[in-house]
Amino acid sequence: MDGKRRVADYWIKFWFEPVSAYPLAAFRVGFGLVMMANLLGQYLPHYLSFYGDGAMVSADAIYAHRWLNLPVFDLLFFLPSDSHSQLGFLYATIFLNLLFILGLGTRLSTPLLFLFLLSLHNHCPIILHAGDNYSRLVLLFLSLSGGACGRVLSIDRMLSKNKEQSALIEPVAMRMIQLQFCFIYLINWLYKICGPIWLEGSAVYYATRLTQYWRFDYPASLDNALASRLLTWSTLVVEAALVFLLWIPRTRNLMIIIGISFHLFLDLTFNLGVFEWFFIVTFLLFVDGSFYEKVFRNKEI
Amino acid sequence: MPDQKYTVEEALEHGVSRLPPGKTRRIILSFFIVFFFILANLISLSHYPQFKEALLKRLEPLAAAFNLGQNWTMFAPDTRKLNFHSTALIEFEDGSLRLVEFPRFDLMDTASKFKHAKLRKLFNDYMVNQIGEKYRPSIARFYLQSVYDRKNKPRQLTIDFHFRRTKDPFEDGVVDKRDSVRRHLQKSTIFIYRVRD
Repeated sequence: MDGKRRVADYWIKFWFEPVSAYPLAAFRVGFGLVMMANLLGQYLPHYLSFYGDGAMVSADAIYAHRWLNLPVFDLLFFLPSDSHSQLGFLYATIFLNLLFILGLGTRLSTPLLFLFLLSLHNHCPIILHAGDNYSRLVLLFLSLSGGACGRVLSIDRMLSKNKEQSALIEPVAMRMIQLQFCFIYLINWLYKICGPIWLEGSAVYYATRLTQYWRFDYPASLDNALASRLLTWSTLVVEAALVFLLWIPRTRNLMIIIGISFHLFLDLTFNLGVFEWFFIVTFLLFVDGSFYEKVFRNKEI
Repeated sequence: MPDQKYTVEEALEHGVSRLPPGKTRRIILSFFIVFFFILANLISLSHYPQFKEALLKRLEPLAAAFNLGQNWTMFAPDTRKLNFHSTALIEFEDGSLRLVEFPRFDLMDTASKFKHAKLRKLFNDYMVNQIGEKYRPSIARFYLQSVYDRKNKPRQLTIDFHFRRTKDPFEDGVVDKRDSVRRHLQKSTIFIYRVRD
């Protein structure tokens, strides 16, 4: 009986005990900025080729082949199919993302942003990369937070009549993002250890030969089998460590530094859109609330 | 008198601004959390060949409604062991030919790679693989319309896949240097689209 009670208490403590609002708010700002880079830098240039009148792959073909004619949520189907209306939808999404970054009307702008992004993704899923899929999940969780992500570091806070309002929030959304983040490492790690190239140590060698992902020149000194083995196995160790050690207070800060360095190195080596940046900003959620409180103390934002 | 640690002003600094969640709300949220993580991670695992048949069909309706689909298999369990680019050869009524090269990320600068990232998914991941072969007719029609001329109509579009396999460092005993992997000397035709008269 005691054991069950302890599990229940731990569950309530983990998911519902109030925590500092700063980590989630800092994450909101960072995540919103990466989203903005994605919307303006990657969606906008080719938007009409995928969403406009006479798109490269028609919405009907996608609905039939990708969604197997199952019901999907897509606000774009309610709009006229002309290019102006479709482009207007993207601008509306960008505007909502701006409100989200600034923390204005967060309680409403966050779920709206999620629904708009969900529509963009469902309408043309054949252009989505892993960063898009991650951003959709994150916005789903933030939508459930009832505006908690805009409690501080926001215009909502500056406009609030109750300036003394507490900077504590219920952490459900934050915990879901943290857990999802670690699940991604775990799932990816499980797939990796099932693959012979990861066990024999050639995965980094093969991955760094893929010319479509090249960003900057890989140091020539690493262009050999020994370096490939060491980097492959180190990747497995780092990813496994990130699943568990981010949750342990004694190792958390070290893992944040290792995790950010790991993704920066990946971002310099591989061109994977904004995926690495979504992951880098997620580490902000693991930084202790007291750190932010020291930084933002007396700033009324 | 209960323990009173703070004055009202101090309590406002420390207490939660909303009432703590009630028991019913906690239970509902807890169910959602458990349901979501079981569903989402089953979907993630459903990309593994052994689970694909069993899981994907059952989960598809749920995953489609809110696009809960997840696929975290970057470079895993295996990765592509070849480099490639693809081209479309368009044949016109008068016998003339026009060659179109689909976007080549290996030849772009960093800014262009960022700007055109959405094209990579379609042309490099979908179009050339089995998963995206059903979209090839739509892509073919898009390109044929873009070169349409009433006086000299396009008759056929052929998509060719040009590739070069990466050498296996353990079997072949040779490491492919990065500057040697750009020349895609092997070719295979993957799709032909004929325009109806």
